[in-house]
Amino acid sequence: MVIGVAEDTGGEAAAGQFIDAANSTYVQLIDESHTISSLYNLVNVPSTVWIDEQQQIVRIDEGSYAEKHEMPGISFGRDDYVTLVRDWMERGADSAYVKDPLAQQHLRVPTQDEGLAEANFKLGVYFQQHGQRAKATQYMDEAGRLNPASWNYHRQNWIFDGEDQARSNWQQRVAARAGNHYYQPIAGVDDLT
Amino acid sequence: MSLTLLYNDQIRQVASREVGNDTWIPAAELAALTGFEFKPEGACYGDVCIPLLPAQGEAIHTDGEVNLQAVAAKLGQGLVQDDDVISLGPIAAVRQRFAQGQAPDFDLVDREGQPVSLSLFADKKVILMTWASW
Repeated sequence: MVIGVAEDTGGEAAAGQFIDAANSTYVQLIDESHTISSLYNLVNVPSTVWIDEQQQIVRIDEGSYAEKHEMPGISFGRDDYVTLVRDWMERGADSAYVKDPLAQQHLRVPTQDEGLAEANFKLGVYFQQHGQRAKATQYMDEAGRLNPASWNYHRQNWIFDGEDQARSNWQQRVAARAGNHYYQPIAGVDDLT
Repeated sequence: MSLTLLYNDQIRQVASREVGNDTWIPAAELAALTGFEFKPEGACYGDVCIPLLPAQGEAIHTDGEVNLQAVAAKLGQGLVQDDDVISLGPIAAVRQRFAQGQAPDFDLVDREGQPVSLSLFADKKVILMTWASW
């Protein structure tokens, strides 16, 4: 089963057209408060969690694109991601692509700052949805300050200032990431960059 | 006064009572929001109970009411307040199961308004995939 989750505070108006265009047969959800990213400690999209029949996490990937993407100054994704997923579907725990999930740094409780960032972000979402942009950006900015690794917080915040501004902010922040991964590779598993 | 509480994807209106810098709300409201029950032994989530032992002169849980700020502090929960809106962060004791590899369940609704939880797919492999329009 595939469950697609749009991390979109803008809701149906923002995400609906893409879901319509995908015309998918799988489950599609719109998660306005980014609750899935909170629960699974995800800081960027697209991210993918592999969950087995016992509802145990067997893998988490950031940057789970179906093909490699090359952009100026940054590249991400891999061409064989679908092959990896299919292998797991067929072989289950025997798949070479399932690794000890506890070795993945994702599986941990949030730090104090990350927890406070989450509370601030959700307050920002609340004000955004109540038409109070100044307060929304105040709390989303604070979320991004407390958890700077969360591209979700930054980018969700920026988009409400317009696509051009959001793109410019993104390009600046990507350029300034100075050796840090845009998508974290999985420790001991492989090198998604 | 009436207070708006935010936690995970939930929004809940509750009656509240201000005492100094603290906010008291019905324990049942906070229980409904977070899944914690308030018992004599403390705040309990399933079989895990976190004691709510008050410091000298402090009151946390009495007569069916809880001190929101004090409970949040005991649970290690971030709290951000803007006037009559309070946003509550994650509770470490709840996220502990995730840290041990268990996939956290969720309650969302699809575009047709049908509830969708991870537990609906307990006998299947699930690919949970986030994306965004931005």
